[in-house]
Amino acid sequence: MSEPLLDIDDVTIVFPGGRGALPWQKLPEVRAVQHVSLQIDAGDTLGLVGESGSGKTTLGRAVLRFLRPESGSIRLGDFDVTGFGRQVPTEYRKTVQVVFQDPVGSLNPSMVVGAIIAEPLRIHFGMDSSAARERAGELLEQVGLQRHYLDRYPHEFSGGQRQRIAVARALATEPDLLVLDEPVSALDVSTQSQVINLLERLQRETGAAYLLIAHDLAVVRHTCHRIAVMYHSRVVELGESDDICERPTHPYTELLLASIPDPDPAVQHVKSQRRRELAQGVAGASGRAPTGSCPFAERCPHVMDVCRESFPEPIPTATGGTVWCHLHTSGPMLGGRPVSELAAGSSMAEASAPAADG
Amino acid sequence: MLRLLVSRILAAIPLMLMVATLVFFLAQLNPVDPAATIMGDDADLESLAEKRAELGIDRPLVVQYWDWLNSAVVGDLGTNWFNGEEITTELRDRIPVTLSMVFGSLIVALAIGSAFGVLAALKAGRWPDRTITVASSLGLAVPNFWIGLVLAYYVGVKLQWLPAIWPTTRPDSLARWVEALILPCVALGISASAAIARQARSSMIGVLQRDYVRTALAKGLPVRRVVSRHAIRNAAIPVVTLAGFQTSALIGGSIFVEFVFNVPGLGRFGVDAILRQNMPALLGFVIVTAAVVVVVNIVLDLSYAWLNPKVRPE
Repeated sequence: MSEPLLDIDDVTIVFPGGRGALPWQKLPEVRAVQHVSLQIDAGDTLGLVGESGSGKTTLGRAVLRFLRPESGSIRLGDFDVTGFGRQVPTEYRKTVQVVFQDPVGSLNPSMVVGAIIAEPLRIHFGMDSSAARERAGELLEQVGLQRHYLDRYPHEFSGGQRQRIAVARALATEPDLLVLDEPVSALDVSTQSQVINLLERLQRETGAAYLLIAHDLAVVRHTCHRIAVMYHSRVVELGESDDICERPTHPYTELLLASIPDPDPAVQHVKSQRRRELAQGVAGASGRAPTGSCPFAERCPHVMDVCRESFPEPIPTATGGTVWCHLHTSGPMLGGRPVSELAAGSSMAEASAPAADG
Repeated sequence: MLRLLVSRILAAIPLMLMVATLVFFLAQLNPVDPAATIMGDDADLESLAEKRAELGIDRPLVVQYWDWLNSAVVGDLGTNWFNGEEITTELRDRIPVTLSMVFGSLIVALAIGSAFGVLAALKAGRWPDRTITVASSLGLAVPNFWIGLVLAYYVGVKLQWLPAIWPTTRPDSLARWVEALILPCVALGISASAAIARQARSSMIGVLQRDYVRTALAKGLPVRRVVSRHAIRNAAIPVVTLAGFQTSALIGGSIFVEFVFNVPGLGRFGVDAILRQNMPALLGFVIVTAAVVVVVNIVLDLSYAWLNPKVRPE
């Protein structure tokens, strides 16, 4: 296998604590991402899913080099991203681009669309204004908009159109990697699928790799070749999209899947019952990510003593993915098989028996 | 844009009429009798009545007002009851002085305020930001006439760098004019600059967190260009709004500063007119200040439209 395009190796990102309301109060630091390793091949799409606060956006920002990891390394092509000093090479900015969640906030309201798209062209390709304008027009057409929109302001467009403009702008530098930070979650459902289809078509046309950050597994499954599931600063499961969605090996992935609503009321009824069984405690990662235990232990229905004592080592799953869960080595010894096997055999009581407090 | 301009100017006419009407009738609450002030304490009732008839203040108020309005619309604001000068001539001498002071101090306020505000935002939470925050609290708290006195004493008298008071003869060259203006403008502009710095800081911090600033960085623009091209223009919108309010405050504040530096401006003229119930002078003063505020706000509206495409008329 050839070298991956993006190689995130054992990255930990820590935010300093800052000061509290009182001058002598010092807030503890926040571990947003802990020991995460991910790879993306050229032209591939990796989905990064997880609830808000799981650290997925933070990881995306580290790839964009808006922040610097505490430890670990990020490499993109020939660039050693973590080795950059204060000044990020312009050449790297050309290689990686970003599309943000909110298409209202990501376009400068005081610039016309043509200027927004032309700016990177002039920086990275040294185009003069007429050449940049011509290319910007082409890019607009490529994302399904009309050329004469170049002279309009962002506020004159709908949400979906603005997101298309953001995509056109991101593609202007002909990047190798596009970080898509929740690119469709601010759009309504009918527009979501249009933008997703657009992104897929553009990937075929340009060959750019995508890091797709999302909280909606349905969107990610549709688009991504591989999926990484993050929970509260850790990647807990990694694998091919279909395997993750059909045969989840981590209890959190299973919970995520159970929370995708189903259009059929009968199916949905069963699903929501299942979700209530799976979810323990309060939804949403709260407090600070633990360093020496599994962050999901508080909510996991299968929690064991060992889960509170150490974070599990990576275990290969039966389908070729990777899972970080003690269930596979201790207790029921799943050994890479899906969690659903636990529920199938009535071994659930046994499995969670050692849990002191449910 | 032209339509916006014309409509704003047309809207200003009834506004100024209303201001003049309001001030005329409000001023009647002042118990001072201008005739008595002119004639002195030992004037008899007969000569007072004669003086009142001469000034025209023995007529009904509505008639007096109508009379003033009729001549005002053709540009005649009457004569000063106390020194017999044409009000328009007096205003013509004083308007440039006060206007240059107000605009000078507005420039001081915007220059100092936005420079420090932007600096504080870029260094948010660190020592430059903290220093600027404390300094701006001080700037807001200290009255402008006190700053004026301190500047006049130290810069004017001790260091002798700049004139401590307005020259008694009208400054004959632009350089001397500017020289005389610097200290009054700084004294007047400091507190406005503190307010502007705070607004600039908070709106700049808000803009710097927006995704389009991140996008601009991701495009590969150097930080300086991201700030100058993408951030400042958007952060300027609330600052411009604030500058509009500050202009009215500066006109009010100019009265005190004029007293400190002995500047022959509108402020003294207006205060004097109020104290002595000098009606033609008072109305002239009010018309001019209202016009200045209106013009400043039209200019700000236009720059607002330039800064923010969303409020541009179709």
